[in-house]
Amino acid sequence: MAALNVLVSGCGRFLRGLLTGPTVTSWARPPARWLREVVEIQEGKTTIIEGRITGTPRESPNPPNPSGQCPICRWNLKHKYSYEDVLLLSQFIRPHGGMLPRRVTGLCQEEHRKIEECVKMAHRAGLLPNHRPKLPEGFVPKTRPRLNRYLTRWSPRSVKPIYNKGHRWNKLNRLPEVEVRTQLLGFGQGQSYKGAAGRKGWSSPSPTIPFLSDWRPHGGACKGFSQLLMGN
Amino acid sequence: MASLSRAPQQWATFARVWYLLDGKMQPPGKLAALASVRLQGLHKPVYHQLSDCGDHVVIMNTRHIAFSGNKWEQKVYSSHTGYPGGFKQVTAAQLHRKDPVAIVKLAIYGMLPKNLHRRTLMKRLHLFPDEDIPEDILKNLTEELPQPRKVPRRLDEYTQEEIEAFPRVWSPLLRCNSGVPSFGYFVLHV
Repeated sequence: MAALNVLVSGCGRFLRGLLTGPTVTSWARPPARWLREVVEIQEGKTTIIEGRITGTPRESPNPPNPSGQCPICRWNLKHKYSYEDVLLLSQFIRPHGGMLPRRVTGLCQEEHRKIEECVKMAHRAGLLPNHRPKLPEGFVPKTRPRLNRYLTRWSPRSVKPIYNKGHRWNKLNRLPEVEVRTQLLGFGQGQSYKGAAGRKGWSSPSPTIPFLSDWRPHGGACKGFSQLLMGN
Repeated sequence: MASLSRAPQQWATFARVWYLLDGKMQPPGKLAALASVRLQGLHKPVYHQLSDCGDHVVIMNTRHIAFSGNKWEQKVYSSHTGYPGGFKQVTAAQLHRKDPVAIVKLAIYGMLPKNLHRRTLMKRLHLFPDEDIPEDILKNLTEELPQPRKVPRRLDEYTQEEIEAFPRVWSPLLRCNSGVPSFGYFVLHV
């Protein structure tokens, strides 16, 4: 145990993966402590706070790539998901919409950040209607007419209007050029995006996160992973 | 199939057709691209600029269009009244609140050719903010065009079987005090 501790603290993720990864994930070892649910019972003057053991959600058996370190690599989902894949994203969020910590889910840093961005975009697109933040009791929010949006990477409140798009020699960074091949058929498929240079302007998916569906070579309007898995 | 004689064939080729387009959760630019093509008649092999072969387009649910990115806050529509100090700039959100039809109308106006035909083609465009369309227009409609954007499904639109069929991708990985990853406490407030 002491030796294991030293290895875990000293040598980092790699060794941790070697020593504990296979033992934790692919071998069906029962957990050391089960997941518990905290229940508070009030009996007169006595309050009993009890942790009752509930069903521990386990990873589905036979991942396609058992040697992967994070869930995304194990299930071959790298560069395959998008903000629309709510079935995947909902596994990493709390009931009120927040993200679960990386040390709990086991994701690697980059994938955790990508999932976080996709979850934010899904919330803003209204794809997670039952994961709203908890409001104080008895509070009735004013129902303002909501604007529909999608692919919103940046918070709407943080963004200012672009009053001046610039002269001909100094135009703002336009959205990536769209090559509409099937315009006459009316479908949005068959689009490809080219990179754009210039000063920062329209908020668009940043080039530093190439995983987002818009920046893939085969185009933006492809099926999300969950839809493919469902056989749609 | 028997071929048509001359007059019916001529009528079938050059008759003006009414198309319906649903703008719910669609980006207005893509709607405008479709509509401008149909209004000019570019989708017909018999197209000619002078032969007035455009069709009618009815767009409903323009109140429920969806912009990608932050265009609701960033996109600015400018106009000038002609008087000094009359330069007005409004964001897309403000314009949409004032007139739910204006965004799609301006988008289509900008995509039509910049000649004298543009005004007549705009007269053949009919925009409605919601689903209620007058009866005489409903009777004219022949075809509904497919929506340009595939609307993603919300989480509550998936059936329970589909949610269960989707594999669970991770199991909880919590460290207890010794620092070794193991399963452990996870507080669930019911």
